[in-house]
Amino acid sequence: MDCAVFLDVLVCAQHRNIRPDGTCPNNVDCNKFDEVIRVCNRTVFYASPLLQPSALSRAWCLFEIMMTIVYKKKLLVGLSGKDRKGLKALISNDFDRIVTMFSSIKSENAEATHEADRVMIFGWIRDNLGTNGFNKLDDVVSRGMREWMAETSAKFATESEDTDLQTSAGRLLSNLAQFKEAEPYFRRALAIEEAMHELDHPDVAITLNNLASSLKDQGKYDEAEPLLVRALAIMERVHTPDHPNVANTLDNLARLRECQGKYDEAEPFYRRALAIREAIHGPEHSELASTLNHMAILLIDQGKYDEAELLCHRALAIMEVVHGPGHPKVGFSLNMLANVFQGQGKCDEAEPLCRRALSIVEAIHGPDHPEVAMTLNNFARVLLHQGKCDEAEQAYHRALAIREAVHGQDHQDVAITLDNLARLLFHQGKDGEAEHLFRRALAITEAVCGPDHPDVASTLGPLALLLYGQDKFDEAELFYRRTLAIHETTLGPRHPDVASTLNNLARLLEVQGEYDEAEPLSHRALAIIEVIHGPDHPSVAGALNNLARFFYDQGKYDASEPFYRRALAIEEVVHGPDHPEVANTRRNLATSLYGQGKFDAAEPYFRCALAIVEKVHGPDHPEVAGALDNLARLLYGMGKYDEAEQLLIRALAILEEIHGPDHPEVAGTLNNLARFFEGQGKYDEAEPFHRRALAIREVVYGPGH
Amino acid sequence: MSLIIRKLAEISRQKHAGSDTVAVVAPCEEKRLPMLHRGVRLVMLRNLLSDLKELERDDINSGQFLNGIHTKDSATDWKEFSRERDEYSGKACCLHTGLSFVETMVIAGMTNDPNSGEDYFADIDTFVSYTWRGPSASLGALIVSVEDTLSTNGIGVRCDTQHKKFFMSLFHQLLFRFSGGLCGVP
Repeated sequence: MDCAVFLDVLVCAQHRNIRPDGTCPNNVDCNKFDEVIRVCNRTVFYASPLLQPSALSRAWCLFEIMMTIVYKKKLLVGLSGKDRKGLKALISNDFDRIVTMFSSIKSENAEATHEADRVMIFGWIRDNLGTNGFNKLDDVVSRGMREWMAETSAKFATESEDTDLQTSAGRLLSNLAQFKEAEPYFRRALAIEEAMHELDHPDVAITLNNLASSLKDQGKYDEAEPLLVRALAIMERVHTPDHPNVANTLDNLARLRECQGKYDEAEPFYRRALAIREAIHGPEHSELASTLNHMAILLIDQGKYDEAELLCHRALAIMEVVHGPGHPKVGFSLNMLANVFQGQGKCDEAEPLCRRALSIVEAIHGPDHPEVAMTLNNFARVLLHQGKCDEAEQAYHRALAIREAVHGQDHQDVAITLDNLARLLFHQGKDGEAEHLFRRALAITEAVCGPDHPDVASTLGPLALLLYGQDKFDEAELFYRRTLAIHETTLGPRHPDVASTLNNLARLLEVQGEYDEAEPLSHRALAIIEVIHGPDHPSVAGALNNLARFFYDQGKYDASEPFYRRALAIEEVVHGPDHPEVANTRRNLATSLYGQGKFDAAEPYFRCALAIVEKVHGPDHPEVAGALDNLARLLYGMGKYDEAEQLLIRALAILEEIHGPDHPEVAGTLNNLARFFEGQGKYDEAEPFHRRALAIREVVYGPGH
Repeated sequence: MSLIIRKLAEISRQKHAGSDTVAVVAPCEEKRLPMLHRGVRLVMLRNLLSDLKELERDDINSGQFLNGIHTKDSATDWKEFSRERDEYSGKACCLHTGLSFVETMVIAGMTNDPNSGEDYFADIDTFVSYTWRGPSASLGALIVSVEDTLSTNGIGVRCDTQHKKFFMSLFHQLLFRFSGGLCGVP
């Protein structure tokens, strides 16, 4: 290659004499590095000694690599002759040391010969890259080095029959989230191993595990499954049943089954892996705690919070003993336990755990690290469930800012936070902002992961729900159908996410009057959830509620009743009799009974629902006003006018107190009161309520509304 | 033998005998060869390396090349620079111009390889990022590495490897996100 290089020792003036005009040629030249890199086609970064490159501790070099990547120039890594000779062996045999080297770049600790240079470069980093500019710089430099190493490994692997080189290339590409590109190297490694050994050689099993991991990362669960089953069979044949490789393969198989939604099949694999790890390491080992944490995730997915809590407590205790209270693994375990508490509705107990986890990762990594962003994401979710929407929003915004600064605008981690923040805004009714963020997240995920990846479906689903709420039915239906297709392909036809999407699509079709198409979808969703979770799981209650509402909305009150009754029975067991969810279902059942004219049967349910919301929210909450209104209508229908009137007057007082006397909600209850008196022939008493309601609506909506 | 260093050192002695440490004041920027035209071609690097070998200093680092073979530390080497101590150091060669090594060569008319006639300099298209001091910082090794890297556009050395297996875990750091929810009940 015919090149002309910039080598500062030759190209820049080195004497520091000052000219009469006050300029110094050395300073002038040194200030042009940025411009030179911008016009160059490439940068050769001299990275010897490879495992601890001196240049990575120099402020100027980090600046130069950064600018190379910012200007999208090719980064070539140059090595000394000794390093070049050892590189292939290093990639093949010491992969983990290479990864450690990449992750140990700390630009904030970089030095420069002249303090003024260091101050200038650090100032530039802060001015141009923001408060977390050092992290961004570390990440960019590390990524540049990893890309070079992945390219180099791939080249070695292509020229070689060495399985370790194939595996290293695959791992490096996976490390860059280039899972599709990694797959051929794992496949080649497997082919070489199979040709070299007998088919049940342990090296074949390990390579099967690696290929399965690559496929799983692409969402190709069905392709990964037989590979892991085969790997486990080999491991069990060639090793003793309590060998670590058996435990590793069981862990991988459990994780895959979990991704497939086959929770029942995942659990025994985790239990066997746990037993092996306990036998090998004893009851207090970090690997055992990791498996406990991951099994807890499975149990959380299944709604088995109590058992998950036990595992998380045990994992946390082990991590604290093994690593000390300030270790990141303790932070992760705290996050896990918080997740369990949140699932149990014990958000007040989850919150301090999240705060402790956050303080640990902030102390270790500083305030602007991706680990902090991940913990903030988790924390925001707890805050949201506590109803602390503003704090949750702040946490998501902080997480988003960190990830955008560290990874750039188009990274998948950014898409995940955008998705979560959009869900929060959607929850708050800020549909416009939410839609914008959902679409941004979707565009990133489609670009990064491809249009059929599970993460695409993860954003399409809530976006469809939002569009449905805006009556944009055509686009919502399109998105739901895409979501369903992706879930069915990647997760199989009997996954909870398939059930969830079926339910939502059914609801959408229902509001468009497509009842015949909607009903089988709802039934299919219920059947899936019953199979996965058993007949008494809260998710089953949710699906039953949906089916009940499906019939109720069509006026088929008698058809809705048995579904509401089943849902209520489940919820009373799961949540206890005084939970808001129970109150809601009681009210729905009562409404169904009311629709059938079964007033006497409906009355205790309405009264019970009222009692619960009064207990949960206090006597002056809007939910109480709604429950009072429901009960008053029933009592009116039963001819119990006096009590009905008292309830409506109380509902009116609550709404006036909360919203003020001129709110549309108040107008609605005034109208109900007017109709109530009209129905009894008390037109004189009805009139003032009509007049007040009319006055409010004229002011709010205008006289021509 | 290209004799770049010896020739520049001789010119410097002749034209700037007054001081072994203080260079002449450089001309104003407008009169200098623009930075982007100071790209060093591989033929010049090869000849420079040949010079270093001939001077038995191909293992020195860039700091020593610039301030003198006797220097050891970037923080102090500029104070220790003196033509009297090392007349073949880079700065000693440029005392009479106050400019860069490349510009000083151009002023001396040393713009082509004496054997092939190839140009020594061209517009810069490749930035080299490296350190002047520290382990593996020899200027000779750097020059060899730059040429090798540019000629292969990567790495291509084969060697035997010890067989070892890696076990990949399917576990990844959890990114907590909401699970898809069911439609709300009325």
